[in-house]
Amino acid sequence: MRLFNLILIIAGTLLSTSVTHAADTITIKAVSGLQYDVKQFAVEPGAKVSINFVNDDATDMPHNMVFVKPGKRMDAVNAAMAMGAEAIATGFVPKTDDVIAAIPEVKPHAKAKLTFTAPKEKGIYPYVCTYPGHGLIMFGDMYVGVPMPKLKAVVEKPETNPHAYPLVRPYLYRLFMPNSNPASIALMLPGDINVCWDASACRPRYIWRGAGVDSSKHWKSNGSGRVALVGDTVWTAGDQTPLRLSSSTAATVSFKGYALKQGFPEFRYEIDGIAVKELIREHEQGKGVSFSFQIDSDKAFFYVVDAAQNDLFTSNVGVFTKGVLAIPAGSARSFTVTLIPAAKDAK
Amino acid sequence: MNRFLLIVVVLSFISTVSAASIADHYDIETIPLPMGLDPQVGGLSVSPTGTLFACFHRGEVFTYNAEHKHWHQFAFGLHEPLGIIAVSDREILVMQRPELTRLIDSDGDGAADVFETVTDGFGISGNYHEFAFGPVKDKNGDLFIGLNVASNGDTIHSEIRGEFRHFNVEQKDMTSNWKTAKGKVGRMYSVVPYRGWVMKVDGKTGAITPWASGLRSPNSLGFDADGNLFVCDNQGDWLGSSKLFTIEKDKFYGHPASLVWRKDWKSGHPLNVPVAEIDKLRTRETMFFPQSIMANSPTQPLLDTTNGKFGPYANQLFVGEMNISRLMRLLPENVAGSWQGACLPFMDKNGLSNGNNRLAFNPKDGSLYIGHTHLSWAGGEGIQRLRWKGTMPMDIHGMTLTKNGFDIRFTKPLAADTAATSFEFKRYFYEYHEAYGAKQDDIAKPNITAFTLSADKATISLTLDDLKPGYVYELNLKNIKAADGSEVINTLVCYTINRLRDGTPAPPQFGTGQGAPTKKEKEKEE
Repeated sequence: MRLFNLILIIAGTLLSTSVTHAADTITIKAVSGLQYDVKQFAVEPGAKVSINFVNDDATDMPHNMVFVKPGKRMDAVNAAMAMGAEAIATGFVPKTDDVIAAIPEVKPHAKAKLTFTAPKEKGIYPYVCTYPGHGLIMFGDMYVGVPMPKLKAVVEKPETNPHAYPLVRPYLYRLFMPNSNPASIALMLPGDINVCWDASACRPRYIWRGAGVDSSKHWKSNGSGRVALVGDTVWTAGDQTPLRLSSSTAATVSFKGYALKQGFPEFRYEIDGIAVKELIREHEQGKGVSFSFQIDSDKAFFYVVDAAQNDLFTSNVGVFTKGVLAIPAGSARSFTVTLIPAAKDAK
Repeated sequence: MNRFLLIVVVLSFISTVSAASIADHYDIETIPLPMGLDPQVGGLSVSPTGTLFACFHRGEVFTYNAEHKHWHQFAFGLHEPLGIIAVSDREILVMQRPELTRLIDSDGDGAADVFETVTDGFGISGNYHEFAFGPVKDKNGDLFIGLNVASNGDTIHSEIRGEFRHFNVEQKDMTSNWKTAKGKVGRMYSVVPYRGWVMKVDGKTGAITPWASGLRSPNSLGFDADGNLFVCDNQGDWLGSSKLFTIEKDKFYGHPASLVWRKDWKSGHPLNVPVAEIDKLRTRETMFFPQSIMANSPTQPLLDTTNGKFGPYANQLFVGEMNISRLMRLLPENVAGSWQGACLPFMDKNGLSNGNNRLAFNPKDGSLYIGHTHLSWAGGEGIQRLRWKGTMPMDIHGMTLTKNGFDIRFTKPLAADTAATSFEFKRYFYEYHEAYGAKQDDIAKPNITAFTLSADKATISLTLDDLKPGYVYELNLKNIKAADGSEVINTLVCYTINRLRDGTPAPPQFGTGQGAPTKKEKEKEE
C-alpha cells in the first residue's frame, strides 16, 4: 500500500487509469512554508478516499484541509475569511456548497483522519488550507478520473545572484555559519578565498576556497535552513582568540563592529579593554589572507596559534616560534600577520 | 429562479452603492522595488528629510527617494534585519539577529561604511525563532528592543553566544539527543539570555538592561503620545489569543520561558511551577486581539504623528496584521491603574496586501508606508503607501469604559434615529494556560439597558446589564449612520476590561488548558 501511494503521487499519470474503487489511503502532511507535502494525487470517480492528515509544520501553524469543487479554491478561501467568529466553530471550513469534504483546523503537531467518497463527476478537485492567509499558497489537486500530469521537478540550486545587484568581491554577510558561533561573519575576498570570522570571540575560525556561501535554504523561509559552504576548507583555527597580552592566557574580548575600507572589513574590538582594528584582505591574489592590526597601545602583545600550524604564519614584526608571535612593546600600533593555508586542511 | 436572481443582483447593487468604503477616503499605491530583491520588509523608517529607509530579508538596506522614485543600496550583509530608525540620511540604527548596529555613511557617498555595534549584550543560540525586534527610541533618547524566544520546531546550534540555562535539559542533549530534549525543553524556550524580554539600551553608552519579561514573540514595539511603550505578542502557548502589552520595568507578561533570566528566579523549570503561581507573577495584557475576528498576528504599533495629515486619528496608534489584509487602530487607556482598552479595524482589503509587518509615517506629507513580509508564514511582500484623501470617514474615534458601560465617540455626529439595537455586544474571556491558543470562554450577550447621545451627537453612552472585568467586549455595529447619511466604515471594536472604573479587578482565569481547543482535539485524535 505504501509503495502504491508513492507511485500514485509521483507517477499518477501512468496509474490514474488503474486505480480501483477500493479505499485509497493517502498520508498528507502540512509542512513548513505553508505547503502540503503532497501536491497532487489521483483517484477514480466514486472511490472511497481516506486521508491521514498530519500537521508536521515545524513553525507551529494550525492548518486545515478543504476539498472543493473544480475551480472553487479561492471562493472557498474568501468564504472562510468572511466568516469571522463563526470560523472558529467550523475550524475555518466555509459553509458553502463548494466544499465536498473537509478536515477542520488541526493544531500544530496533531493529526486527523478523513474518509469520503470521491465525486462521480470527473475533474480536478483542489484541496486547500482555508486558515486565514494560507489559501493563497497552501493547496494541492485531487485528480478524479482525469489524467494527472507529472509535477515539474523543483530544482534546488544556489541562485547565481540572490540580490538586486551583482556580488563583487570583497563582500560579507552576517550569518549563522556552520562550525562557528551564530554571531559570525562570512567574508568573501578576491581570489576566491573566504574567511569565517567569529564576531563573538573576535577571531578567524576557518578559511575555505571557492564560491563562498549558499544561503538559499537559510533565506528560503524563516532562517531554520542551514547555510552551506561552497568550496573546500583549507584552514581551521585553534580554540582561542590569537591576539592577547599574555602568551599563556587568552584575552577578554568585546566586539565593537567594523568599517569597510574599499569593501574590506576592518573589525573593531577590545582585548582586555584595549581598542584593536583588524583589517582582513586576500594575500597575493588569494594565495593566503592577511590580517593587518592597529592597536592603540605601546604594550607588548602576543599572537598565538596552534603550534602545529606554526609554519603557515608569517609577520612583519617577528617570527612565529612554536605557534607564538611575540610583538615587542611599541610595535603593535601597526603590524600584519599573513596566513598561507596548506593545500588541504590538516584538520 | 430568474426573479430570485434578479433580486439578488439588485440588492447587491444597492449595497455596493451605499456601503461605506475606506477607499472613499484613502488611496493606496504599491511602490515598485529594485529587480531581483527579495521583497520581504523587516523595517521601515523615514529620515527627517523624508528619505525612506527600508531593510530586507536578505540583509540589504535601501533608501527610497519618493520624488524621483529612485532606490539606492545603503548597506548590505546584515542578518535578518527586523527594525530600523533613520536618525539622519547618513546614520541609521538597525536591529539584526546578532546585535543592534549603528550604520554610518561617513564619506557621504550614500552607502554605509561604518557598522558600529551598539549592543550585542544578549544571547543567540542559532535557533531560527530568535528574531530580534525594535529599536524604538524614547523621549530621552534611550532605545528599546524585543528578543524572541526559540521554538522547539528546531534545536540550537552546537556553538551559542551567551550562557546556556535550562532546568530540565542539558546543553549537550539539545544537539546530541534532540528527539528527547524537544519534548522537555518547552514549546517555546529561552536557553540564552534574555530571550522573551524587552531590553533597554542606553542611547549614549549602549549599556543594555533587562527591562521586562514574559514575552513570546514581541513583534514589535511602539510608543504612544505620552511615552508609554506598547508591544504586540502573538497567539500561541500561554497566549490564548494575540495580545497588546504596555511594557513597564521589571514586569512579567505571562510567557514563562523567560523567567529563568530573572535575578530573583529560584523555582527551577518554569513549566513545573503551578500555573496559579505563574499567574500571580504576571501583569495582564492591555488588550486581546480576538483570534480570527480581529487579528491572528498583530505587528508594529505606530503613533500617528502627522497632526491630522493622515486623517482624524492624530496621536492615536495604528498597528498591522500579518495573516489578513488589515490595518488596525488601538485605543488603550488606563483605568484605575490598569492598562486596558480597545482595538478595531482601520482598513481591510481595497488593495492592501497581507503581511502588514512594518509601518512608517512620512512626516512631510503624512502618508503611511506599509512594509510586507511572510518569512514562510502567512503574509505578503513589498511596500505600499497609503494616503488620506482629505474627506472625513464616519468611524469610531474613541472608546472608553464608564461606570456601567462604554462611551463611544464617532468622527461625525450620529443620525438622529440611532437606536440601541444598532449596538450588539458579545463578551467572553480567554483562559490563561500553557496550551496553544484558547477558545472564547463563558460567552454571553450583554443587553443595553440605557443609552444617551452627547450634546454634539458624536458620543454615545451605552449602559450594559453585564460588565465584567477579565472579559473581552466585542461590539458589532449594525446600520450605524452619521447625521450626514454616511455609513460607518468599520463595524467592529473589541474592548478588553481588566478593571472596572471602581477598581474591581479581574478574577483569576487560569487553568491547565481545559479552555484550549488543542488538548481536547489531541486527545480525540491520538
